Amino acid sequence: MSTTDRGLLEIFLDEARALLPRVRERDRSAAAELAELALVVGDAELVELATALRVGLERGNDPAPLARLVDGKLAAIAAPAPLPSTWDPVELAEMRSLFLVEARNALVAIEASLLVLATDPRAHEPFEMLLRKAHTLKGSAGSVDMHALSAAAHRLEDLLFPARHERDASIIAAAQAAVPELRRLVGLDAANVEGEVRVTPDSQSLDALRVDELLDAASELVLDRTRIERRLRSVDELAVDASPQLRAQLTELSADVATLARTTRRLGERLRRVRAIDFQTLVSRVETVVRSVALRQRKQVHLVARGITEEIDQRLADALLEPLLHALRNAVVHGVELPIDRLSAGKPAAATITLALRQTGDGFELEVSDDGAGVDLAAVRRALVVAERLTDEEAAQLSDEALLATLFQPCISTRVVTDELAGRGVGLDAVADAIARLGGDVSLDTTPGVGTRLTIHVPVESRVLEALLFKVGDQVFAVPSARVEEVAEVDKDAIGDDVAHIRIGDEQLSLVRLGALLRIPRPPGLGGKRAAIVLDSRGQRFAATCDRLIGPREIVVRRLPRALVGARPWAGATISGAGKVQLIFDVDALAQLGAGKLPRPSYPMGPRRVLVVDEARSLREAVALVLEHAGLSAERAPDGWEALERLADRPFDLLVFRHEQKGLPGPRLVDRIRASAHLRKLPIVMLTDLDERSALKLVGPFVQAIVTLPLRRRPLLDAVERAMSSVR
Amino acid sequence: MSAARPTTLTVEVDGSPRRLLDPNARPLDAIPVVTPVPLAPDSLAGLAQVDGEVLPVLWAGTQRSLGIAVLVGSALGRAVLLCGRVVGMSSDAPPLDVHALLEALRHEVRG
Repeated sequence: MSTTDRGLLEIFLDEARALLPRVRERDRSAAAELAELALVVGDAELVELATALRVGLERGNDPAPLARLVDGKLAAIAAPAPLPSTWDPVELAEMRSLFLVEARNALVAIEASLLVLATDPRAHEPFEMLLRKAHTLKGSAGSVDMHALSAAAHRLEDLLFPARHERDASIIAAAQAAVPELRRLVGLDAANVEGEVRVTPDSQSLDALRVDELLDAASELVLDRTRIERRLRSVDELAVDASPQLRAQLTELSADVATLARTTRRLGERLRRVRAIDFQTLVSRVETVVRSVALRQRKQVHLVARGITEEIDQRLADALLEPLLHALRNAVVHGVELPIDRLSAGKPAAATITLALRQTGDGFELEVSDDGAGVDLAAVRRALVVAERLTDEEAAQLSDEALLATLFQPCISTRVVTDELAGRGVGLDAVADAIARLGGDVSLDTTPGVGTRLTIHVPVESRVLEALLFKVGDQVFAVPSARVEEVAEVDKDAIGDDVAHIRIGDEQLSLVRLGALLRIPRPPGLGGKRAAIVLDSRGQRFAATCDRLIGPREIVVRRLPRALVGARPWAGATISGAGKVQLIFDVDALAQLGAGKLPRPSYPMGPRRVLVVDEARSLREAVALVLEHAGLSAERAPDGWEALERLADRPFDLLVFRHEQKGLPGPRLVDRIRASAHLRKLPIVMLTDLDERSALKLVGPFVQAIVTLPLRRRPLLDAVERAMSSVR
Repeated sequence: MSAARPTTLTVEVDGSPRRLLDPNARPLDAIPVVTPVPLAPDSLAGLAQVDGEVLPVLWAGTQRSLGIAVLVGSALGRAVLLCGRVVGMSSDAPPLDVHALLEALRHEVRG
């Protein structure tokens, strides 16, 4: 800075100082002059503080706390340059690197404390924590010659100290206004920090990189362990006739490998947790921005965070920061109304913006919702036509959902006037871009006058996974090996339709019959044995039965298409060597679906399934073909015994059986079905050679419809419709 | 302000011609191998691998027609549409909103 510039600056600073007493006396014109002078001085923090002071006075707030901060800032700007450092430059750079880690932690604690104090300014412990951290920051920064940071922390401490025993919300608001400057000075909001240290994202994530290396090593350990397990199984099979001593050694070795499996799993989980931060930390980073934008827009906003104890990966949190800021800025600028408009709409003057994080089976979901005016769909239509993206007619025909989706396209904005915050249509498209880079997706829904909700879904990273492959029906599925505790062979009679638990070893486990749950037809030629896969869901073991085990494989996990993200119980897909898509289970969602803790989907899923039973193949096939032609899915059983077996194994929507048959006669089949808790409500159509009156006498109350033979298409379909509608 | 309607691929859906709004929509040489997705809505025929990508395969209409598979794009990503046949290129057939189909699917899946 030249001597002339310095001279001019001192004149401006003198003028500003002279205005402060009038501002303290609540003189609004002095506050306005001060804000203009701050712009001339060109210091960002001074502009922010002076603007806050002016707006606060207009709202009738006490100007004293902010005036104190302005005073301190003016003193800092006027202060002569600090004395030259006594540190060796290399040592100083090292010391600063170490200090910055501490400083960022301190800042997170400061922001978290302020978040609590925003709702309860008198809370004692957060206030003490805030004061302590400001004090530490001031001292530590000074010791590594980061004088601007030290001065900023000092001003914060000066503001807080007098309010130690008595304070109101204005003190907390003033402290919040000081945070952006602190963030900038420790390099959290800009690339450069004070002094010679430039903190790049690489050095910030050094610890994360080391954890990544450890995670890779842990994954290799899992693969090594899986190989040992496979070889051990082979040796075990070869050593069937080995000596008792060798058999005993093999048994012990198996137990050791099982212990190793548990240890490697724990190791992986703990390493992942090291790299995780809680959601609160991310919320703290965006909170001050929301306040700042609201202040500039002259709006009042409460930020509410939900799921603050949920953990997310540190790197993901860093990548989410920018889209989240865009989304929040968008909510304040576009969503939230001015206080006067809210009051006239019968709403509280202050809007609520809610940030909610929740884990999903294949990643997590982040919601930014506001209780503002909602999106003006007519304005979006106009914007699309003005941008020449659509004709008037096409815009008019577009569904509301498709219309909202266009807001994620570049340069579409409903705002007529542009300013530094919005109006150029670079908000939601930036959100969509950033989230797409993470492999996620964004959706928007809105209700006029009630508010808008932006939902961000980010799936887990694509990766190579050791998985267990198996078949249900003819379809191949995968489940992560890390979630497989053991695999056992069970008798089909042990997993009948009424069975909710199964004994595996010494343990009684909840049972999920995959064929029944997924409504997949039973493959032909299935014997009397089934495979039960014992899975771990959040520490709870349960068994899932399948039709055939294929074995462990290393697979590449692909994300589900965006329209299917969140579909339960799926975590992703993989592509087989033959190019076919195979689905990967989300084990936790599967456990919940199986236990009935998640509702089964209410939408129609595939054709209705009918079991056709008759010993005469010609009639059985004719009935099945008529039903299939009508859009139903028909399975065939040659007698009542097999019918019972199939009904126990897979769910059906209807049974069509012939009364006169060998094996298990029709009436006894009906008796058994009605005696089963699981099948009691299954609709039944009976085919018979008897006349309808005689048939009614036999089984009348227990079947929904009777069809007399010879077979005719229309009466059969009418009976099927009647039977099915009787249980809807 | 009103621009002329663009000419795009038009396919037969439930017996009627429908214009696909995606200018890059193209018929596939063959219907890909479709993997059913259990517990998914009826409108989804399943998943298929196209050019190494896992894509949703949708029924274009209420009639389950397996005439031809068309690769289409929307704001929700690419998808394969199963429809009757390719009618040609047109600008006056009623549009088929693929985005709306995918959005409806997503809405159902998420409950």
